Amino acid sequence: MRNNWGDMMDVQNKFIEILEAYILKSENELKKYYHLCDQKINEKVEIFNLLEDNFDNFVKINFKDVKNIIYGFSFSDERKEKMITELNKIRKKIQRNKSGVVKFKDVENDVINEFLTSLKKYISNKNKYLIEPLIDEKIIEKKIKKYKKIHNLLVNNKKINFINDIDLLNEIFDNSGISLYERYAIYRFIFKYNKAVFDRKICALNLKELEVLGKFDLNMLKGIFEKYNYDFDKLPGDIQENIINKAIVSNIEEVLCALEKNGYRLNLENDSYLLMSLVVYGDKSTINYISNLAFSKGLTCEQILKIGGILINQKDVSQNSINVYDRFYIDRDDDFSVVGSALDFEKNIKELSMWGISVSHVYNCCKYVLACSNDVLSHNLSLFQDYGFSLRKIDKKLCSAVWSALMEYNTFEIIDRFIEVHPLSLQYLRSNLSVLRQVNSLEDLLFYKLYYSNKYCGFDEAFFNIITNDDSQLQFQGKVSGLTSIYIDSYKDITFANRRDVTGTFVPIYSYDYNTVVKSRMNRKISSKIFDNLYIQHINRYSDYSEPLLYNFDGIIISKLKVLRVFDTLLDAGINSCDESFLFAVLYNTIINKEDYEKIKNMIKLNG
Amino acid sequence: MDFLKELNFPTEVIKKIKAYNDKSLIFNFICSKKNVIKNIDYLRNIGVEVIELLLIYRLEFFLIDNSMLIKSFENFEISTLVKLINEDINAVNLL
Repeated sequence: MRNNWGDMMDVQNKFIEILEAYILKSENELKKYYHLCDQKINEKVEIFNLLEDNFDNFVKINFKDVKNIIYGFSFSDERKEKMITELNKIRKKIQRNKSGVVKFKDVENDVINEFLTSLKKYISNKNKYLIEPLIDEKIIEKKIKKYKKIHNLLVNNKKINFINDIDLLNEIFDNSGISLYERYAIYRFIFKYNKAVFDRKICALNLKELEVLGKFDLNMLKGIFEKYNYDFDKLPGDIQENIINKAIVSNIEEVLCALEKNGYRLNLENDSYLLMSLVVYGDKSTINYISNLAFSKGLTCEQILKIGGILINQKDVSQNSINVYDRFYIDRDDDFSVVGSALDFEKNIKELSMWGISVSHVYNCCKYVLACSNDVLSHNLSLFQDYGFSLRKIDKKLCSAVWSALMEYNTFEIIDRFIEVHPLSLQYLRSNLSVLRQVNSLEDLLFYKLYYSNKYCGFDEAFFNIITNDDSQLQFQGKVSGLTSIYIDSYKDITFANRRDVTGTFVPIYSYDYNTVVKSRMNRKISSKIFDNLYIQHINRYSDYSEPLLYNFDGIIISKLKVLRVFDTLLDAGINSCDESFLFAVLYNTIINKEDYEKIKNMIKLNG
Repeated sequence: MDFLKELNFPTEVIKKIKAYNDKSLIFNFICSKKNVIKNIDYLRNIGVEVIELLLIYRLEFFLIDNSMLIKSFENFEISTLVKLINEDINAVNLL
């Protein structure tokens, strides 16, 4: 059931469905009651008594009443008509009789008896309902009117009046067999609906030009935009529609005023989507606050508009709501996705100032970093410092690779593997840090291809050097990177299935499950006492002097930070410092063949 | 991001763009639709074949002002640079 409640429209439709069913049920009950009951039963009783006493009294009764009584009997129309005809004849006979009691023939007596018996039966049936009324029809009629009122509000969707008779709704829900979850969904819908009504009513109170509550005055809206020198008609059709359907009039005014006050000027040709997002989802206090913050860090209005999402507040929708929105998204209808990043911008500014990095420097390198997730930025700033990736270098590039990589949530494990598979990887990484955005998994084929190319094809197979405009940089050889198509990885026919076989990857087996210990406890920080460890001191001799982040075991490249981190984690967990545990730390996540495994196993031994 | 569909990018690519990029970046991308389209057209014209990969892994590249992008490319021998980019998308770091 949960899957059917995708959004507010579904809930609204379900609510309408429930109301319609309940209205129908109530009306049917009422119909049935009226059908059973007879308001003029007392008159009929009088007639019966009169006729039972002396049938000659028949002439005293209005024949029209007699006909109605007969029509109320439950036999066929034919039989009813026959009875009426016969009784009419009997009536005329009584009328013609001037002396004493009328004498009826047998066949006439039959008709009279049938009539009286049927009337008696009818009275007794109807009396049953008078004595034990099944329902109080006046109350039901009133309720049906109320149900229909709510139904109309929903179907017309004009959001003119509040839905506030919760007791009435509870009664409906109690009798509709819906689940508790569905009931809560409808209440949440009602809450949102009433809020929209409230907003509209407030707008109407502020703007006297609104003729009818709920009826939208387009000219008034255009007037507001014109006041701030924006031509509403120049906006694309879908943008106009979205503003009309979703914006609150008073908010449009406030937002445009705040934008003007802070010196922003949006270009309708290029910034229409941003303008729509601001008037529909923005608010003046966020615009004012963020603008002040950004101005204080040296950003201009024009610069801020290029990352305009920072002017929109992030809405944190709780986990319990019907739609578990991604924490950034405010609206997801029809591909109109709007993301507010005001909160992250604020945190990012603080973070960067802690690192002593100027906001304008970041803006010039890669402005979007300022608006990206603070969790990601924070994690990456620390990580990059550990690995010595420079952030302070004046980067005159059009699209900075380093700063671009900061937007990617990547673990140190991927960096470690990257720098181990090829001696030139670290150099490549330093000028192409953005490659981290392409590699999302430790098992990415790129690692195996780089390993293979270095091990079996030679140093130069994977990379080549470009010197251009006084800049020297490593690039991937196309055949290794396999980037000519996103669908085919054809270097040495390496596929995901055969990656280990082709490269000859050897997976060591250890006597203890070190993996689980590491996976459950690993964090980035390395304690200083690890440097006192004998194994660490022993392998210092294999430090690569040109690359302080690497060990070089006779051609086998190992990430130093990785060894320190993993071994520190193991020791901290109480594992003994021994040949095997140290070997695990050294070869953690390393792609290696059997031959190299045996070689390195001997090299790391304390007495080796 | 329907405008990408109109430019003949498959749904699979659009899904990957949404999966691999920070949401605020995607929002800014949508806000800069006109500029993005100009950049895509330019890259297609000069022979860049890996536009889909650039969209997925270097989305912010398309947000660069079109005139600045063209000016940057013209600092290089364009056909050689395009060849390098087609082999390794990180060659855009040269710009």
